[in-house]
Amino acid sequence: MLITILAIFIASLIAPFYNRQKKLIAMLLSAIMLGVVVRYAFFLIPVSRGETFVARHQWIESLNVHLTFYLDGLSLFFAFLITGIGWLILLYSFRYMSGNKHAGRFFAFLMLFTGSMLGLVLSGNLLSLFVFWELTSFSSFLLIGFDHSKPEARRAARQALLVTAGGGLALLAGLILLNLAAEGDFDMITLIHQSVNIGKSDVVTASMILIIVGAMTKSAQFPFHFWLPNAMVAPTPVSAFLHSATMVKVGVYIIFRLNPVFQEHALWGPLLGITGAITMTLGAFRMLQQDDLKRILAYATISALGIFFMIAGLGGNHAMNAVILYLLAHALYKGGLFLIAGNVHKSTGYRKISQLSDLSRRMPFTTISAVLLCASMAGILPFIGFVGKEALYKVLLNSDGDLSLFYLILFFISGVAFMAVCMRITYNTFFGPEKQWKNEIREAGVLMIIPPLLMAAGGLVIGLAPHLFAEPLLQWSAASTYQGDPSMELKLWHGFNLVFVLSTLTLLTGAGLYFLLPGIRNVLSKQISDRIYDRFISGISQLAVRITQRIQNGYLRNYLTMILLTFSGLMILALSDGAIWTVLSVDNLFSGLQMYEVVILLLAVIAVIVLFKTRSRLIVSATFGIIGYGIALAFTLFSAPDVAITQFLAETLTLILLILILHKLPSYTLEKRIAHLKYLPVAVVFGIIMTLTTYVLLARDPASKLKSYTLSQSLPAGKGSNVVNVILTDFRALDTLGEITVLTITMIGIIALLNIKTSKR
Amino acid sequence: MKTLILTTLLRILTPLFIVFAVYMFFRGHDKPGGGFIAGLIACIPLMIHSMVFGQKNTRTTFRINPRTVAGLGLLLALVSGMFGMVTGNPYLSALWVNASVPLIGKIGTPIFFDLGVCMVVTGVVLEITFLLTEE
Repeated sequence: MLITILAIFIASLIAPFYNRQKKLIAMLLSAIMLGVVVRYAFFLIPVSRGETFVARHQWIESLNVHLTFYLDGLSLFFAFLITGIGWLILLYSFRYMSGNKHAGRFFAFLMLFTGSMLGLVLSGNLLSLFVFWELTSFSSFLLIGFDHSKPEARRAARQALLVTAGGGLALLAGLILLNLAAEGDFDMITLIHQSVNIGKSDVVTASMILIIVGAMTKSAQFPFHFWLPNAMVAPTPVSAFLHSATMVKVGVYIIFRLNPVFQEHALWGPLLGITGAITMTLGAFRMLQQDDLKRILAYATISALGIFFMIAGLGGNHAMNAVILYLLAHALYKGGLFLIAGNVHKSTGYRKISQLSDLSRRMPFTTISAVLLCASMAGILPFIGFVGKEALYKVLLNSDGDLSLFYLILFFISGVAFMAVCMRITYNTFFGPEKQWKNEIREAGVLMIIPPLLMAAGGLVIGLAPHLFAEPLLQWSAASTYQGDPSMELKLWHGFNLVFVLSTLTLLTGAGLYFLLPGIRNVLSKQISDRIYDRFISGISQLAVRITQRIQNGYLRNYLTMILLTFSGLMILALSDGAIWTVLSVDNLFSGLQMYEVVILLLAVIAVIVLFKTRSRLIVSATFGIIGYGIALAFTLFSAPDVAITQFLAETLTLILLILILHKLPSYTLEKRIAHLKYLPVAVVFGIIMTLTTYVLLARDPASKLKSYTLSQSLPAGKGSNVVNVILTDFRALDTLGEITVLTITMIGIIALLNIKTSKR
Repeated sequence: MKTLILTTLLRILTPLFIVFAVYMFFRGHDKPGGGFIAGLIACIPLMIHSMVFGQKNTRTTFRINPRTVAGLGLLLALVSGMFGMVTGNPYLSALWVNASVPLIGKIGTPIFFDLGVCMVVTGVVLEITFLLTEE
């Protein structure tokens, strides 16, 4: 399983060369994707017998974090969705992106997303799950903002990232709490199987709510739904793949995954159900108001995501069976419909339904797919959408939950809206009154016709024989969400019963609604959530500007004062426990004082006095040098030659650099003596604190274990007799690595700063 | 700042400083010295050179681009830590070769790590100097 994910990531690395070697890279990418699909097809037979697979790879041994992959029915179902639809989308994109000069970058992002998405659904460890979760948010950001020269694309990308990554933080907190409750080691597999022990812990409720919030942001649930319609600025294959078929379903996936853990909790069901019901209804209403094809589909997706949440919240085996089935139906028809929208947009240049008409004669294949896909979306008889909707109605009717009637009514309303919108999409776009187009409309290329056609055909075939094509895998996917034996039985025709009556009634009412639509579609341009988001973001940046103006005023002395005062404050807090007074005494202060120590001290004192008198920067630097050399001298006398050499060299080099800088600086800004005095208290406080700190550190615990350990281990373990160097390059090499990294970053900062200066002149 | 004394001295002192830096570098594992100190010492003649002749002259004479040196140094230090992982130990564990080389002494990954440190220090200090001496 690791290999498949790595293969896709490698594909992402070679994708940028697409611009140079189109044919070759296109072949390579599709071959890799197809290979991955085939690889997972081999899992199909064992998994439909109920087997599960675990692959464990060592990662961070000392922290007990492993890279574990877990494959059961649910993972395999999602893996198929991702790789199968991903492959179709990839083929589609080769044609769709053909004229774009950044196509290589696009494919790289797309493969990056596919790999992280696959990693997410296969993760058997909570931490790797989170990492992949964030990677999908990140690649979604890159893909939404792909057309980065457009301001609205940048805005939408940032919005999606902020919302989903914010939700990611909530998820992380939730996962950590969950791990605390389970007393586990972030292992998801044991977590799912030991769900009984978790229910009793107090942190479970908090963890559950946080995880739901995370899932809500990713799956665009109310009140976080607003990012999804805005994300429609992304290239259409991205909308089809990320924002309908796969990524937005991640929230649903995590709900499914953790359902065995939380299903007994009293809040789990209502929380999911009510969120889902609101989202579903809201999405359905918004969908009616839109005119842009992609935005209509985006709101339909939101509505469908609401359905998943609502039914999952209903709980019970049958509900889970129905959701999984509808998930498959939705992925097929919605992915396909987005591609149809892409075809229409590419061929005509328009995306608004009111500007489109009479395309069926010019784009026959696209029309066929569109009709089939819409039929599945509306839930008309032989399609998988119909089977899914029947199952949902059945669950809602048979459920004895408090809210099920309320859910049923809302679901009926949404179903009606779905039907009306489907009629609008098919009739108004592809049939409708004859229209004279300015330029000739041509059918889209073969690669853009086949993928939606395949999805439509898939919906029809699976719908005709669901027990053959969907049941073997889906029953086990549903079974993973309640950790029991599978209980799914799929049939196209359930007989003439109440469910069928309801289903038919939905279609008829929807058809009626279609004719009323022109009157209902009132204009409500921007959503409230979107506006609140805008105000929130601009508020943050205004606040940031205000704070920056106050704190970052450009005076080095103010920064320094701030740092010194903060440090002193922290040290006072640390020393305030009173222990300091027990070690502080004047008795042994002067014992063992040597003559040379007095000389060094005197030198330093004289230098400080000179420092106060002088007005010349050159003399100030030189005096600093004296103090520095004095300290170096002290190091030599206390037999620390390494430190002394470093101090001497650093002092010399600093002096040289200071002199180089001096003539570039403006003259003293603090002309008056009184202005200098302002900083005297800061200096005095800092000096006292430093002295006290040093004193306490020296007085406390003279025989530290660390010292004897490093001294004794230096030669046998570090193979060197210079302890300082062994510590630097071996024992604490990670610290050194951090330091040289900081040093390099500082250099980059200085380069940037000085270059700004020179370019301004 | 082009004076006869400085130019003459530089000609003699530069190789001396470099050799001394190399000496300090290899000596560092057993006696005072090491990569950080060696890096600082190696900087000194080049710094003076750039102050005397200008940084462009120094860049061409010594064929050195400090940014690259610093970057390569950081890369070397990063990579040197990976060899220890081959034997299954954590990142940055030392790995030593048993044979010892005359004059240099024991060979192991910490030497390369130290060389990385040395290069970063040299690169950063020189880059800042060059930027400041730029007219």
